[in-house]
Amino acid sequence: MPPQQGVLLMKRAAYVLLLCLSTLLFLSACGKKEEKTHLVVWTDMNETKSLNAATARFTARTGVPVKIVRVPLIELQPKFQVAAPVRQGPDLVTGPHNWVGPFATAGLISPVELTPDEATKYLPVSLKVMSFEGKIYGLPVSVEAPGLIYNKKFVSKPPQTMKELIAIAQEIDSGKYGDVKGFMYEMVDFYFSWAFFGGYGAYIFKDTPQGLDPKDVGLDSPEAVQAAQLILDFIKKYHLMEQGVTKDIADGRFLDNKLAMTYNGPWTLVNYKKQGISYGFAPLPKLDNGRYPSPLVSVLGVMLNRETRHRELAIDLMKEICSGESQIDIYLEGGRIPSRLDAQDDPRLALQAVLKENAGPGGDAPDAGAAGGKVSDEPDTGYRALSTIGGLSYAMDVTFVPNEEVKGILESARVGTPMPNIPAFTQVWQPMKEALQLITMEKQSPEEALKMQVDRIRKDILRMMR
Amino acid sequence: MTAKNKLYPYLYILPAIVFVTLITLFPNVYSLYLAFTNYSLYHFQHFQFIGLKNFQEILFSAELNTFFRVFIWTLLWAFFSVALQFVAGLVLALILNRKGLKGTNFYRTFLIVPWAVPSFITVLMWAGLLNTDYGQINQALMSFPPILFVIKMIIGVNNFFVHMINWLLNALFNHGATGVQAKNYLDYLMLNSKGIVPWLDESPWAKISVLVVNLWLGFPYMMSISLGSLQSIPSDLYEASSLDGASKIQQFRKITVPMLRSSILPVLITSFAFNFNNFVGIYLLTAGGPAQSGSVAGATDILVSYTYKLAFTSCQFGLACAYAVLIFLLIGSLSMVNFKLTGAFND
Amino acid sequence: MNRKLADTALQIVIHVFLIITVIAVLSPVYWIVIASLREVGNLFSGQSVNWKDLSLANYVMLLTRSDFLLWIKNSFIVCSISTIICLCFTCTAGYAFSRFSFKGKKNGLMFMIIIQMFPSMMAMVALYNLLNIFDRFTGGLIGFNLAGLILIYTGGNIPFNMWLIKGYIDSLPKELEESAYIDGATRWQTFYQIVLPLMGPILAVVGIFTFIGAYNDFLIPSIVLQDSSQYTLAVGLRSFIGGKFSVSWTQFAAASVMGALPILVVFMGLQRFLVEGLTKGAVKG
Repeated sequence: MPPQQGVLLMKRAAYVLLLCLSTLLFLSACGKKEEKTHLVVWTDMNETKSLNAATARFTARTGVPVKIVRVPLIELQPKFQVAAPVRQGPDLVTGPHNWVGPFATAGLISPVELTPDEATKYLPVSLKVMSFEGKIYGLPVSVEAPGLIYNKKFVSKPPQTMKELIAIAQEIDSGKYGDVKGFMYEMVDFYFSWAFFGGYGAYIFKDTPQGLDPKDVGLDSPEAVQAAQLILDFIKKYHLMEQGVTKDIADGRFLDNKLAMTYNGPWTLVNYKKQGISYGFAPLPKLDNGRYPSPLVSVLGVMLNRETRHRELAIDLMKEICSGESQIDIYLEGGRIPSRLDAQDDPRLALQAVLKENAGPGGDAPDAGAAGGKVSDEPDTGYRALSTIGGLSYAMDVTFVPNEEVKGILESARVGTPMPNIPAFTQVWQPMKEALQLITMEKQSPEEALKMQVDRIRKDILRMMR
Repeated sequence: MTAKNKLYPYLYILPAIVFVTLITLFPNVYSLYLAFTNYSLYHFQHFQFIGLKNFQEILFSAELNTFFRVFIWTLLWAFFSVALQFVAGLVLALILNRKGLKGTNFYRTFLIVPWAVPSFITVLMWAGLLNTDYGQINQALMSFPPILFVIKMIIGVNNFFVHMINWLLNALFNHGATGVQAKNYLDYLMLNSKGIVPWLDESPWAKISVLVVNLWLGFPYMMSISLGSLQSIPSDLYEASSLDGASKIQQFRKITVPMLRSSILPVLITSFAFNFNNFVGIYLLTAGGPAQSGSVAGATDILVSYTYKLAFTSCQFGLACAYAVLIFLLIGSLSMVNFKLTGAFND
Repeated sequence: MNRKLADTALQIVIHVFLIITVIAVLSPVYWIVIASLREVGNLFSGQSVNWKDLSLANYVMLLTRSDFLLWIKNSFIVCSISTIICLCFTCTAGYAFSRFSFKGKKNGLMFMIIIQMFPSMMAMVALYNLLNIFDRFTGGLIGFNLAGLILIYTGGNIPFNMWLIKGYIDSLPKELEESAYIDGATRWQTFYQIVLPLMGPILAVVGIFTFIGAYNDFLIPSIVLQDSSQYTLAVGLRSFIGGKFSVSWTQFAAASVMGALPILVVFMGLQRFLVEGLTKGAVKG
């Protein structure tokens, strides 16, 4: 029957067409085999312009192109761990220095050799934390430490002692500026609360000449209990905040000009700048024992994949990314404090860069060039440049203002504790968070909670190391 | 039956079988193998076969009774998740399936939204909304005068009773020598000291919260499945029965339910298994919390999140695999029993 | 007269109920949309909405200065291809399990469903090794790229979809096929020309389910995909909040809202399949 056959034919044709289309789409989904020699870097850094500039310099010098792949921080570590052993990983990977211990133990990264001359160029503590069992496993890019951030509209000078801070906060809480609150931060995050533990003299792992001892955990000592009590007092005695405060909550309020002081890290400053808040950054004020709280200092470093096929080239690239020039670019673009001493002393860091969103049509206006770092356009490497997501590229309008921010961060880092980079440290986060939760919710006394959770940490470390 | 006919059905299922073997069976077998090794951070590149040591550690550890507590909650969680989602989905599907209802397209599209927006932002959103002191939900409740009034009443009555009873006890037993204090009735309601609901901070409320969020996430799926399946029931069945004088409820029980059985039953059972292992649903909202003193497991931890905390965070991947095998045995045998009992695989 | 009044009243009640439900369901999304219209801030800044502050800046940024459209394209490729292939395989398999009888029929399906219940966290390592093998085998054609992803999603969805389709076909009356068989049609013709057209609703549901599952998944692509030009939407979204302490909430919110739109479009397009019932083209008597 002709009409039915016609329909059938059409159906067949449509089917075949669909099949072809699917195959074509499928093939386009497949990968291409890369033949040329090139280096791959995995990073979550937002400072793409600076990275591109550094890789461009490298390529100009060696003729080897570099591909930068952006991976979100929370995925970077597991992804590297799964990919590296099967030779699917990058040549270089960036990450916080506390990954050095776990990666080195798993045999994923290899040490680099530095001449003494090169080594002295870096802030000593930044190299120390990139070392594990006596060997240096990478180079540091930047140093950062959280500290006290205050809104100059409500607090003109940073408080010098904790007592002062509490007094100021309570005054503001009583309605001095309407519904502005005095002081808030995420108490249950050990990354922040540790500062008080350190200030009272507690230690995470005992420091011995051989390095940190993973079997000696000092987080349930009387000093630690004192610190936990202070945190509990923030809620119970001084009524500064509630138990459930998260960094998002504190951050949100600060952005709304509804919070006078908060305790957070330099990475939040970009947003505050955008909002036009006049802020100051200072170390946390002295405790009643006369010592400064000791925040965790973190170093962003570049590490070398053990399975890399271009060892010498990769090390060269690493040195380029961590060079003084590169670090200054990175500071000007993203606000990360350099780890190199020559970069820290550079007069350009004395500038407080005021960021303004680029108002031009399409693309980014080239940097004012005034005293800004050399920022180049997309390098001619034939590879797709990264899109800037999180930290967007802004045209920077540089004004000359003495930069207390850099001073504040470095001072905070000076009194800070470098984050332990041994694998055992990974076992500390969750139990301490739960301890702080139980303490702030008043379900257990500080002494009980710390004892229980630290015992758990000790057990977990032993189990991990077996 | 010729030889060709015997093999003929296998042609139909061959591509499916190949894929399943590759993508599902192979990883499971590999994980099973890993369960017998000491694959961990310290034995990363070269791990060895250690036989039953992982299983020994699990079965003879002090954490075993926590394991059971978590197992019970996992069962409840999976069961109530499915039940709530299914009831909500079916009810909505029945309503939207009515002939002559205007605007069904409009409603259906909006009700599908929880499913369409990627779940990891909506869950994070919910975590924010449910924050006890700053979340929008409590903010809204607190500013709603009737609720405020009720809460003040509850606190007032509670305090009154506590004081009365304490006074009585003191009077009767000489200055609280017994140290007995009247029970604070707020504790029973598990409200926090300001009288507002600690959605994510107290165990019973946290459990309710995760179930509600999961309901929100999952009902569009149940609704769609129900809608699709309701279509397979020929409408003349309904027409014939209503001519015979059957009421709506009778129609539902005698026509809808049996016809839906074969298409919905797989959904319910696999949804149960899915929620049993629904790591993302729990972890993103509460991280298994709130923390319970004396145990690694929080109040809303299910087996997969609990074992994740136990094994993964100490980088003991071999141990994690061993836990996975045990969980698999649990849910696998549960499901098999389910299948046999409900006859889901009988024709 | 009374009947009509009661009916109208019922209609109104139903509509009210539905509207309330829609409002309740959409309220979290409302907050996400509000967050996406702010330029800076996070979910907690500004409980009260300042209408003057709202702007579409984030959306503009996403469309012009980020890889958002690329992610959508990648997600679409992966999701649609894996859905189509999965549907093809599971149609025929579901039909076989429903209408044929062969050895291993009863337990085979159950077995396949059960092995899917293995907690998938550790499967990452195994999948990685699997893709590695594919990568070497096919010289990089299929491996740590979208093609490998398609493979995984197709395979992962088969057992369950197969069972759903079987259940649906089970409830289709057999008379239609029997009459076709008597008329001399082969098994395949019966399947292709009689049964398949009737499977519209279940195929739509299974298709949507598979599509959305693959669309929202971030675990697998985050580990598998190497090249940022291949990132799917879910991975791209993670990059907004995966950095240190979530700095880009508002852009994340905007991207999520825009990311949800394709799903709504797909769903709306497939809606009519959901209502095409058995009544259409059914043989009466």
